[in-house]
Amino acid sequence: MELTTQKELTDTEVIHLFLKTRDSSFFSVLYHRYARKVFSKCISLLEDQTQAEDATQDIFSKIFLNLSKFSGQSKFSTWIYSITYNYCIDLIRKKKKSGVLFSDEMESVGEVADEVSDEELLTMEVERLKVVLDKMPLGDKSILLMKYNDDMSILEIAAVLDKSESAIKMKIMRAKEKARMIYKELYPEK
Amino acid sequence: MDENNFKRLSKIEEGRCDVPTKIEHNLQHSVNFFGLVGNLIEVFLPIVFDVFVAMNGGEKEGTENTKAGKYSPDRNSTPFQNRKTP
Repeated sequence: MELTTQKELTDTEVIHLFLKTRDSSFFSVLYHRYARKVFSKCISLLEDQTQAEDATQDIFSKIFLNLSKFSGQSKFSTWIYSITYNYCIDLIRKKKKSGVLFSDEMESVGEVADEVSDEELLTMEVERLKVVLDKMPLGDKSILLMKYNDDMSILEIAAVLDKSESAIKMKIMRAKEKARMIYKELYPEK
Repeated sequence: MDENNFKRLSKIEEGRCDVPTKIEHNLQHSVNFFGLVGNLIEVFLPIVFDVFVAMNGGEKEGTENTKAGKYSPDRNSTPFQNRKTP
């Protein structure tokens, strides 16, 4: 099949053709569509270029080996991002055995005074948002990225983190609260 | 879909990073390797299974039938069956 024709195919069509023909050029199409996004996420989460390179390679190997298990119930992009978050969170858990990934796992966690609205979070300037996200615990950062960047549902996030839906709702609430707290510390004028 | 500040930030970060080509090369090697292993398994696993069965005193499936000529493809036909006699 010509390269131009391959590029016009949807993800599901490419996967179907790859599984049918085992032609690696179809997998290459998927790689070129998502490599930059996956690599960028790995850099953002792992904060290390070399680790991000290794992680990207491992993640695509996992995708290759598990492609036949992709059921098509969610978008392919969501499936890939789930694998990416899962991999990076696992890696960091292994590295920081005693580290805290989520702010609701901290001993000093208090009651949330009032729920932070989505608007409050979504009106932050992009550069400031980056600074805030970089200062957050990795779990909180991931959960906000899954929800607001990748539009993953509560159910999908729960599957990635292997938690209940109610636990995820609580984690999102805590993460938003943490983001607001950091923002107010860094930019008190607002 | 609305492009919020998270998505804008993500696009900016994607634009800043270049995926090293060595990842694709390494991945290509892995994909070829996995393909090779898959083919080897596909070809040799049934043979290994037959050897294992033979070692345990069994016979390959179909051996008995073949010996007896039971499923010989031309058991019902004679060599000149379709030839018209002059």
